[in-house]
Amino acid sequence: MAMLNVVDVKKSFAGTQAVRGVSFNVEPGELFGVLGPNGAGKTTTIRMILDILRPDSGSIEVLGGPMDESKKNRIGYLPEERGLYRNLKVIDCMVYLATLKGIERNEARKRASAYLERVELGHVAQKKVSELSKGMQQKVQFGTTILHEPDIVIIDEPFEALDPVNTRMVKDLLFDIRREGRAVLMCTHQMHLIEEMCDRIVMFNRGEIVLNGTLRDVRRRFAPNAVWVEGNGSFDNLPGIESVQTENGQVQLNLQAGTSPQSVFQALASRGDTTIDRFEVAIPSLDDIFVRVVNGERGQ
Amino acid sequence: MSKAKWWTIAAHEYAVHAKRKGFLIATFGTPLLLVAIFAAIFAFIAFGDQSNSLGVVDQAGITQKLPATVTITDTLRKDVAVIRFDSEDLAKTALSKQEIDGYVVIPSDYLQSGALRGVANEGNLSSDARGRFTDYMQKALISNQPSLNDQRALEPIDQVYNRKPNSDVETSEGQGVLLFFAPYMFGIFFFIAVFSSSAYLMTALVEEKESRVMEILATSLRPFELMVGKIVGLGLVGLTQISIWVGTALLAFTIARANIEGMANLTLPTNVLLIGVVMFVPAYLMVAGALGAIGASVSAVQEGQQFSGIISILMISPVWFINMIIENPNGPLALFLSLFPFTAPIVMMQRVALVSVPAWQIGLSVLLLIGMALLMIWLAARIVRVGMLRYGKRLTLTEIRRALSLGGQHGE
Repeated sequence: MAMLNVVDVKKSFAGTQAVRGVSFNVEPGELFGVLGPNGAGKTTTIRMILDILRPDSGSIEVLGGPMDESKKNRIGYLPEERGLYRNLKVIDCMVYLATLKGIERNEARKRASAYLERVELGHVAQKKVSELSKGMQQKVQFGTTILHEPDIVIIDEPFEALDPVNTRMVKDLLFDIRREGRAVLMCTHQMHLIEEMCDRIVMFNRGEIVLNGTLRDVRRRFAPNAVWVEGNGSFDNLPGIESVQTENGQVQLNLQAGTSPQSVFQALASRGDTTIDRFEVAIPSLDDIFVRVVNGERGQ
Repeated sequence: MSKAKWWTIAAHEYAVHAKRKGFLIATFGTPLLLVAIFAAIFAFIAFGDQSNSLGVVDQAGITQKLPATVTITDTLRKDVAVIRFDSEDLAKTALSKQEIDGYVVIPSDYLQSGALRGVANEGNLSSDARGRFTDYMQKALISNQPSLNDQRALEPIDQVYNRKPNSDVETSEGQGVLLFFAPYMFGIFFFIAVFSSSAYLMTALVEEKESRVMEILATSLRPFELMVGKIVGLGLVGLTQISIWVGTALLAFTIARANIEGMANLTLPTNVLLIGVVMFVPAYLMVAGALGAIGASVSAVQEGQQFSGIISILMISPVWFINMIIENPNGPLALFLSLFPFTAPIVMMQRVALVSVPAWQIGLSVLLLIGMALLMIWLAARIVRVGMLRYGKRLTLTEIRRALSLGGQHGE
């Protein structure tokens, strides 16, 4: 059973189509990445999944059926536009939001204390939210999203304002969720984190999904049929090479159709006057793919 | 609707607002302040510039029908004895022994001249002494009228009994004052409790939008549950506040009645209280609904306060017409204001205190109030659904109209 199943969903606001027939699904134990430029329709789609907005057409199934009130307690949501009760104590704020997700008060307090200890914020439990740094608030906010142990966690820019150490903490928490067979849908503009963490991705552009698949598949689709080489010696006049580009000491050998990277490697290795420090099949970064897609270049 | 969630919201709102410094100061400070003000007024009157005993030397022979010592009373002040001395020397001696604070000499030509000679250590008779002597002289003059009853001349008005135009029930003068002030007092308490609770609701909604907590709430429960929870929680805050105020007032009244002679026969206008109790819940729901809708429509607390000012002016507007209402409690203006939901609670309490209001008018007033409360809650629930995720920009009239026509549908 898919945790989330979005099928051909459309939504318009005052005549403007914000979401145009979007379909994707999220499976149990999956970290699912959602990419796209601002205004691409990501937040509107998430709000439709959460039943804050209702789609004009299409269907959304959450945890095996249509969204209803009973399922709200099984979803954790960290919205892009987020905040906490600034005048409440950290622990009280977390407990209150957890009780709204159906957790009994004492249990919520226990879980909140344990969470704060884990993310090294035990000492601020009795402080007011407004007294915390932005990064601390972000960790508290993340805690309120997962304290009720939701089956689906939907998070929008979860690493905002976090330093590398705290980013690592939050990543570990997300990996734990995946390990437990629950699902995470993550929106972020930090491509390297998507590359590190996500199993599958969708990319939104102008209300449509323009990419959908595993990271490996997506990257291959955009791969330029080239290899990157670093080393000493000449890389010219190799068989099956269409052209050679050099940039910052890295040489890109663009292959002719039918030429395999293995045959190029063998040809280079057989040259006595050439040493190879690095040889890599050219695969574009997600950052490159994002820019190319947003700029109108489709890899499909 | 999940009971637990709206109740969680209600309990949270109650706990947060009932612990606020502002609430505690207003709730406990207001009765204390009122007690302090009344105590200060009473102390000023009772212990201010006041005579103990006074003397009189009658050379005109007009006080012979009065007793040698006449007690002059005055509201709130202590009784003062005016002692007649046979000669000015005796009066001087009493003054020097501080048995009296001063005396007047009534010269033999007083009836022609109207002049008295006052003697006091300070040189001038105090204003209190002058007032007492005026009273004393009136008694002296009246006691010389042969056709009058001496006792009546000394105490021309023992008590005044008042009646409502359509009632046979007589009320004492003190009771009349109570009937005038009680609805006023209850009206003010009523207004403050209803309005401050509703203002908390509006502020809480706007703050949740400003702090972006609203989107998390929106994924935890329905907008209607959110509104119900807030309305119940903050309504209980208002109820706590008004209970403390009315309770303190009742306690003060009970203590005063047991200890102050003039108040022993006073009874509280329970019909006024009853009207207040019946109207509190619908009036609160009406104002809470209106301010909730405002809170969901605007983007900043200050903006909300500007709009809520209109509601507060509407509610407090009967104060401008208070003279007309008192002069003609069953007139068309008073009738209209006691039926119009936003002014009804305060004006109906005032009318009920003054005259016998027909039952159908009270019934209609309560029904209209309940109707308006339901309308406002309906309005608020729809506007909250659309406005809850609108950040930094208030809803336009077109958007509000669309929200109302959407019914239970979602939209943006």
